[in-house]
Formats: sequence, C-alpha cells, structure tokens
Amino acid sequence: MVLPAQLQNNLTPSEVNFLAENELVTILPRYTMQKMQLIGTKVPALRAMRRESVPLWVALILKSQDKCSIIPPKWLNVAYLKDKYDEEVRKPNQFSALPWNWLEISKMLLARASDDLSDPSHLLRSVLQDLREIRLVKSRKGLKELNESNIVLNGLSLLEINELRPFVLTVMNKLRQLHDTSNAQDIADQDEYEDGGYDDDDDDDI
Amino acid sequence: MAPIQERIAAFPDGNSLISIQKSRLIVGNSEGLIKIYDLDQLDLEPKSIDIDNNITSLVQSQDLLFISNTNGQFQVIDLKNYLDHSIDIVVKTIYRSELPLRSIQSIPTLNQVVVGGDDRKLVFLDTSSSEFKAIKTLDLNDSIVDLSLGLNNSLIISLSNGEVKFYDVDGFGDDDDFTFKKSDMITTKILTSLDTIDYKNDHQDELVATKIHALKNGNFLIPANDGPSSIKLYSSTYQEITEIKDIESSGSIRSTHINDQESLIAVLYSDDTVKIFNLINYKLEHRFPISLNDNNIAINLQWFKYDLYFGTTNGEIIYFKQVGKEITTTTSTTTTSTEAIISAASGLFIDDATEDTDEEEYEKIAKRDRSKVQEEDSMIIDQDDDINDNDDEGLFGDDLDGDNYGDNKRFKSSKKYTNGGSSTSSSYFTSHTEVEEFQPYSPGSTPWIQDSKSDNSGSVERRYLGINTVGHVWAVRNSGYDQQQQHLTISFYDRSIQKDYHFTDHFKFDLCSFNNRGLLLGYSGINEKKNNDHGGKIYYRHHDSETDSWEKTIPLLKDEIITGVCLSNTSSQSSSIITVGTSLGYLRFFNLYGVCINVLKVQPIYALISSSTSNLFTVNQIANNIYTFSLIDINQDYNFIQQDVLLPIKRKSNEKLLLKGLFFNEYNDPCIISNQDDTLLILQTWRDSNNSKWIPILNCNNVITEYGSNPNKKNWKCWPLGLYNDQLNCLILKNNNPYPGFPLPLPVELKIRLPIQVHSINKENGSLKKKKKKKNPDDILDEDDEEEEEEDDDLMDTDGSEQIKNLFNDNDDPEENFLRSLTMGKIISDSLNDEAIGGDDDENDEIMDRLTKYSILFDKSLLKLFAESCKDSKLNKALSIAKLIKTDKALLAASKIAERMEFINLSTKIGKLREDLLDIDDDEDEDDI
Repeated sequence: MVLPAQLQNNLTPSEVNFLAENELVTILPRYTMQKMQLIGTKVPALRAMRRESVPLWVALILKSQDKCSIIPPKWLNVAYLKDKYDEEVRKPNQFSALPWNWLEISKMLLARASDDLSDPSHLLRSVLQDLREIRLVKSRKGLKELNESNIVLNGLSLLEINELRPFVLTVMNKLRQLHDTSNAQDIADQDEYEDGGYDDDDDDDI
Repeated sequence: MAPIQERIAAFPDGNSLISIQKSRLIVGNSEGLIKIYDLDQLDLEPKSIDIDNNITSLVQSQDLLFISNTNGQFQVIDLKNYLDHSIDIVVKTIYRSELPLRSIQSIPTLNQVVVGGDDRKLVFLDTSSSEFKAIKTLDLNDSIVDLSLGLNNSLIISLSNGEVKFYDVDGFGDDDDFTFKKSDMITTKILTSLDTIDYKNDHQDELVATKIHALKNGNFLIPANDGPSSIKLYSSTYQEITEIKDIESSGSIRSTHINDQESLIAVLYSDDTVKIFNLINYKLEHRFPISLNDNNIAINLQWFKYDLYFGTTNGEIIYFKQVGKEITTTTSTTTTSTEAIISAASGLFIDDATEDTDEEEYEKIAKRDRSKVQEEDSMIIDQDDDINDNDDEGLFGDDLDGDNYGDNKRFKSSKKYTNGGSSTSSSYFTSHTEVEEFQPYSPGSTPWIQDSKSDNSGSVERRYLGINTVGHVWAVRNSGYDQQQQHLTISFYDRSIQKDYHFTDHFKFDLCSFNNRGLLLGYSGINEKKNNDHGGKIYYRHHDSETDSWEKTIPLLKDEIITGVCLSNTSSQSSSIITVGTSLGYLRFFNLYGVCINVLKVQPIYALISSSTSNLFTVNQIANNIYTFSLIDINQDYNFIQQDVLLPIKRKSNEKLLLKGLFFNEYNDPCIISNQDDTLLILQTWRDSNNSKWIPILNCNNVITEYGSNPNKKNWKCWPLGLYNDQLNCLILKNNNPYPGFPLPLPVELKIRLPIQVHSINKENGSLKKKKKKKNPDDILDEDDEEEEEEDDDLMDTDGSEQIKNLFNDNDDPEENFLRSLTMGKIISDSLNDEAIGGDDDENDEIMDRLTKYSILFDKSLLKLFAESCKDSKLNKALSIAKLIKTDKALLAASKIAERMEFINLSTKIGKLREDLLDIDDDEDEDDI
C-alpha cells in the first residue's frame, strides 16, 4: 500500500471502521431474501420479522434501503454506558470492559440507524463522548508508566490502541535504544572492571 | 391525555384504606398504623396513631374517627383533642364482636354511628356523649358487607347474599322500619378473611363493590357485577332507570365513589382501570390505568375536589390531580332534554318529606314535559311486575346438563350463603355465573384503545383488527361510539411482498383476516342482532387492486352474529377459501370471488383460523366457558381431522379476553395461548383421530418477568404473534398494558421452555434460584464439574441480569432439554409426512437439520442427567436415564462416566444395554436385507 511512512505502521481509522463492519449484529428483516455464501461470510436466509445475525455492513445496507430494523447491541444504551462511565471514575487505574469495536459500532449505528436505538441519540452521544474522554485522559496518564519492554492495554478497544500506537511505538523504540545503549555501556564497564579491577560500589545504573 | 399518577409513600406494606374529609386524608394501614395528612400541605410530616392490625373500615365523622377490624373491635379516636390540643391519643374500643366487623356508617343528623359485620348484627351507638352507648341492635338474616346512608336517615344495608335492605333509622324499631328489601340486587360477596386480609391472593373475591350510593335527588347507584359489570341507576321508588357502563369491559367493579357535586362517579375495576362516568349524561368521560409494582392493586378510592385518591395493597397512596376538572367544566350544568325527563320522572317519586334544593327544578321540568313524564311513569309501573324477568338470557346457558336455556334467576335465588367459614372462593364463582355473549373475534385483535396523546376534546381511538404472521390491520376512529366511519390501515412485515395501504371503512368492520394476497373484512352484525333476519357483511379485496373486490351480506338470524372470518393461506391463489362462522354454528365457505361453495352447521363458533395447508381450526363454545376445537381439512372434502375435542382453556374470571394468541407454527401445528395462564400450547399428534394432545411449551409470563425476579419487569406482559422453530415471536407490553399500543412495538423472540422446573426467587438479593440439591462433599467431581459448580454459585450470589439470562441457556436444565428435544422432535417428525412439506426439499432439509439438533440435545441432556445422578450416587435413577438413551455412542459415554466414578456394576449394566441395542440394530439390518 502506498502510504506515507508514518501511517504504514498503523491502521487508519477508516481501516478500523472497515474491520468493525464485520461484527455481527441482530436485525429484524422487513424483507425476504435467500441465504448467501460469500467469501468468509455467510448471510443467512432472511424472512420478515424473524431475527437473524448478519455482518454489520449487510445490516447497514439493508437498513439504508429500509428493509430491516437493527436491534442495537445490549451495551448500546444510556444506562449501561453510564454504569461503565461510573466504573471508569471509580477505578482510576483500569479501563472498564467495553467491546473491542465499541466506538466504531456506536458511531455507525448512531449515524445510520439512530431510529432503531432504544435511547435518544443525543443522550447516547453525550455518554459515549464522556466515556471516550475519560478513557483518553487515563491512557495519557498511563504514558508515564511507559518502559522499553511492555505495555498493558487491558480493556482498550482497537481504535483507542491505534490512537496511542504511533506515539507509544516511537517512544518505546527510543526507550529500548536507550536501554540497549545503557546495557552496552554496562557490559563495557564490566569488561573494563574485570580487566582493570574497579570497585563494585561505583557500578551505578544510568 | 392520561393523567399523571402520583404517590404518597404512606406505608411500605399492608393494605391502606383512605378516608378524606375536608382536606384531611386519613390512611389506615392493615399493619396497625394510621397516618393523618393535610392534603393542602402534603409536604408536612404526617401524624401517626397506633391501632390494631387488619383494619376493615375507616370513617371520619366530624372530629371523630371510627375504625373496625377483623378482630371484631369497633374503635373511636377523638381527632380534635389529638390534633388541636395535642392531648395524648386514646384509641377507645366502643363495641366488640366475636366475628370480624366490616362496615361503619355515621349518621351525623342523629348523632349515631352504625357498625355491622359477620355476626349479622347492626349495632347503633350514640356519638353525642363520650360513652358511645349502644342504642339498639338489629338482627339480620346474613352478614353485613357494606353500609351507606340514603335520604331521610334511611340506612342502606348490603348483605352477603346479594340482598339490599333499606332501614329507616328514625323508625320505631320494628320490622316495618325496613322500607324496602330486594334480593339479588348486588353481587353475592362472602367475606372469608378472619385476620389478615390478602386482597392479592386468598381474599381477592372480597374486593367486589357492594356499596350503594344514594344521590341527593333520591336515586341510587348500585354496582352490578353479575354479567358485564355496570353501575345501575335506580329511582327513589327502587325502579331501574338506566345502566351506566362502558362497552369495553375491565372486569368486575372493586370500588366506586361519587364527587361532592354528584356529577361524576369514579369506578375502580379489577384490572386496575379507573373509569369516570358523567352522572348527567351517563357517558364515559375518562379512562386510565393505575400502575402498581409487584402485582399490587388499588383497593378503594375517594374524590377530593377534582383529585382522585386510591388506597392500595402495598401501603402507598396513589393520586391523580385534577382528573375531574376538565370533565366538570365541559359538561357543567347543562342537561339534555332526555336526561331532564329521566331526572324529572324519578323526581316524581321522591317522598314528600324530601326537601331537596334541586326538587323545584325537577318539578319545573316535569311540568314542562308532563306528557312525556307520564309515559315514562306508566312504563316503569308496567315493568314493575316483570322486573325480575329481565335478566339477560343468552343463547347458551351455564349448566352442562343440556338445559342451556335455563335462566339465571334459578341459580341466584336458590343459593343461600352463610358465613360459616367453609365457603370458598369457588363457591363464590359458582354463584357468580354469567351468560356470556358472543363477540366477534379475530386472532390478534384488541378492543378500542384511546390514544393517550390526544386531548379530551377530540380524542382518537384505535384498535387492531387482526395481527398475524403477514402483518397487522388497524382501525382508527374519532371518539364517540356513534361514529359512522373508521379508517383502516394494513401494514405488512415483509415490505417486498406488498406495500402498506389504507382506506375509509363505512361498514364499521370488526372482523378481519388476511394473507399475502388479499384482505377479508367482516361486520359481525352485533348492533342489529336483536332484529329478525338481519345481516352481517363480508368484504374481500386483493392487496394490489380493488378490481376484483366484492362484498356480500351473510344472512343472520335473531341473536346471531358473525363471530369469525378466515382466509386460508395457501400458496396457489385459486384455492384460497373464505370461511365465515357464526354464533349459531353456521360455517359458510366461499371461493375468492364470493361464490358460496359449502355450508355446515357445527357447534357455535368462537374463533376461526386456517393453516397454509387449508386446515381450518375452529374454536367452538359449547356452554358457558366451555370450549372445544375442531380441525377440518377443507381440501379433502371438508373431512374432520379432529371433531369437537374439549379445549383445555377457560376464561379468566372477570376478564373478557379468552385467547391471547391463536396461530399455526411453520409446520401447521395449531398453537394457542389463553389469557388464563399465559401458556403456549401446541397440538401434538393431531393427524391421528382421537389422539390429539395439547402440550404446554412455554409460560410466557414467567419468562417475560424472569420468574418474578426482576422488579422492573413485574408488570410486563406478552402478546404472542407466532411460533417459529423453538422461538415464540411476541410483543412485550410494559406498564401492565393488556393490549399492544400504537405503533406496533418491535417483536422479540422467546425461546420455548417446558414448564417443568420450579424456580424460586431469592428475596434478599432478588436473584433467581433454581431449586437444586446440595452436593455431597464426598462425591468425586472432576475438575470441569467443579468449575461448573463454582460458576453456578457465582450466578446465584449476584443479581445481574446477565447471570439470570444464563439460566435460560440450552445448557441450563438438562431435564427440560431432554423433554423439549423429545417433545418437539415428535412434533416436527410428524410434519415430515405432510404432503405440502414433504414435497419441498428445502423444508425437508430444514426439518432434518432440526431433528439432528434435537437428537444431539437429547443425548447431551440425558448424559448430563446421568452424570448428575451418578454424582449423587443415585444409581437406579442413573440406570433409568441410561435406558432412555437411544444411541450407542451416548451409551458408551454413559458407561465411561460410570467407570470413571467407579460404579462398575452400573457400567456393566450399561454394557448390556449397548449389546441389546446392537442386537436390535442387527435384527433390523437383517430384516432390511
């Protein structure tokens, strides 16, 4: 793919969105359709008013043609998301468990199937934004803990990880290089010590 | 617009009775406490008084408060001393009976108070002195259930046996003081509560209104619960003038109350609906529901200015502000000429001694329309002798011995009840027989529902004429029942087949049936049923054009109506058949162009529905609340597949709705859900004559309310639409609504679940517990099982809905899984042989897939049950389960489980079972060769 160098190590938001479209959602068809076997995906036969699970992209196409109602995921309601927000506030050192694609799916459903959602969309947008912001603040605070070897991202979704990735990767790379350098220096010092007989007490980390 | 329901959290529990005088609201609670509120300052802390438990009546008379209870105590509290002078409260017992006291009536003009109850005695006490001496005692022939005061200190006594007596308190104290007696004037009400009154369960029969209201003009209002509930207006000469009722039944009347201006009567019905009738024109002015949690109910009501207050079984007080205001202002004081005549006519009978301020007005009107008044007068006198013969006699009596034409009077007069404690609720119901009238019914139809969004001036009513698997038809009309037209809309679930359309209906169609191609509407002729040789109407049209549409008049006899119409749902257009059934059992068949092709006389038709294979399913009513069904194959020369087989459903007492759902599943098995128990029944082995069986496969109410474990869902109800695979497609009705609203909510799917397992609710944390045996610590459990146990424990410790939902997983209950796979497997495999399905490869494959799934579930659930029995060391049970296993593979697994748990003997026995199975297989193979 011909992309600028800074984007080559990372998924773009539209790519993340594209991946999220493969998530299965339940729909209530208002349309009868035979089953389809696609590459990697199977769309079951649809009959009016019988719930079926289909990939989100199929659901959105049908929805745009007014051929189905999308049953919103169980987590996409104000009460649940408020609970999660409270949990985020209560536990400052960890992220609450939200679906892997919560941001993308909620954005797509709010944009294209807002009439099927159980709560008013402005309330949902508001609580989603609150959640997003508090998690962003947390993830930025967490950058203090960055080290050269590992990073724990439990509870973060794909899009949130991708937001961090360019910065974190660069910083961790630098940290690693520094660490390698300091290690190399240590080894050199050790060698010198063995050769020249330095005192142990002077062997401080950098 | 529905009024806003507000509440006063007076008590956390117990039955709360209310009494309002001026702005003083007194709430008496059965848990032994009274609270006094000032309605003008509700935010002030109420004052409390301790009393005895189980209060039955509460009456304020000026500054005295009288209370009675089931212990037989009649007590008085001096509120003036308590409230004004802060003198310590004294609850003084002024009379005591051995049996519960039920009702109190104060007679302020004579400074007397009367109390009566189960001991059949009325005791009059003097309230002028602080000693409250008993003045006299009056013995009666039955228990007293209610007391009220009429004009001229006439005490109206309602007795348990349905008799009403009018007693002149001013009289000489002899039998002549009973100015009027009449039996069967009110509903018989046997009060069986001796201590705690449980209105929700054991004593729900005690909540039937028996209190009579006397109006200032001398008339009386009597609640009538025999037959369709209504309020009957009687003149001062005890003649029935009119009946105040709503077309839409809401069950029996629980309580009534008239406002101070006597312009409105508020009626509380058994389905927690409140209806407000105008006492000037006797029309329904307002109807709204009361919504309470946890199956709690409202028990009494009272007006205060324009507000309505209700006592409830959960201790709290519900009120609706200003519900009477709009009505009062709109109807004001103007009366129509006919009403004036009625009032005047009744006014003529008022006793000379009556000095009512309104009397002069009545006299003037009476003079103005003297001739009309005389007509009324003579009519009433003529009716006098026959008044008892006016009981509605339906077509089908309530006795089963064939004497269908017997009248109700015999039942009522021959039954005498005592309050000896042996009477049960069932005896109440047997005496409470009513002759049902046939109503037109289409599957999924609802009564007219007032649009809550519309205002009172131009309210709109809607109803579903029918809901089925193709779509729904609904009608809309403006308020008032005399509207000549309604608008019909038909909506399809599958938008690829047809587009929604609507049209104006001038015939007021009340029946409907439709399939993918056409719409059949019917007018039952219910409004003209008293006419000889009247007619009903049917109308058919294709969805896409009106070119071939037609209408036809169906001949009907006197008292006959069309009860059901049905359009068969076949794949080829030419063979669709229209069926029209009537309340006299005439079953007429038409082709799609209106040509009558057959006519049959069967048992009276209650409902009709047709399957995709043109099997006609009829519900017939053979006697009061007794129903049968028949299955007729229209394509096979109208052969009866099943004929007049008893249907195991009954109408819920005091409820009009019999069937919540009537439909076929995708393989043409009839399914039915009655309003009585909310259980989905499916007909098994209906293809064999005399062998059809109804199988309960889902209790909708339990599943919707999560077995009562979720307090938010307690008032949820289910409105079924259809059964596909193992899932019931239905609508969820929230807020205790009995019918679906507009627009139609999105359907949900409930997995079927045979009602064999007991689920109890852990009240402490509200979580659902399945009854489960304790595990034996000595048992050998493998690691997986231990993990499962731990998971189960977690599940029971928390109250999250997710955990509760897990209980409904396939893996949850092996016993239910086993029975479900067996039952549904049998039902589905029967349909393999059907011609219509058997010929279709896709359908066949689908059935085979489902059968395979059931077979896997069958083995899996049995193995789980087997393992559980082994775990509990119940080896005989384990062997009995092994004997149910049909496949060698599963038997081998069972044998391994037994071996692992070191039950070698059991393992050997299973080995023998396997050998037997192999022998059978070999024999079969040889036979095949």
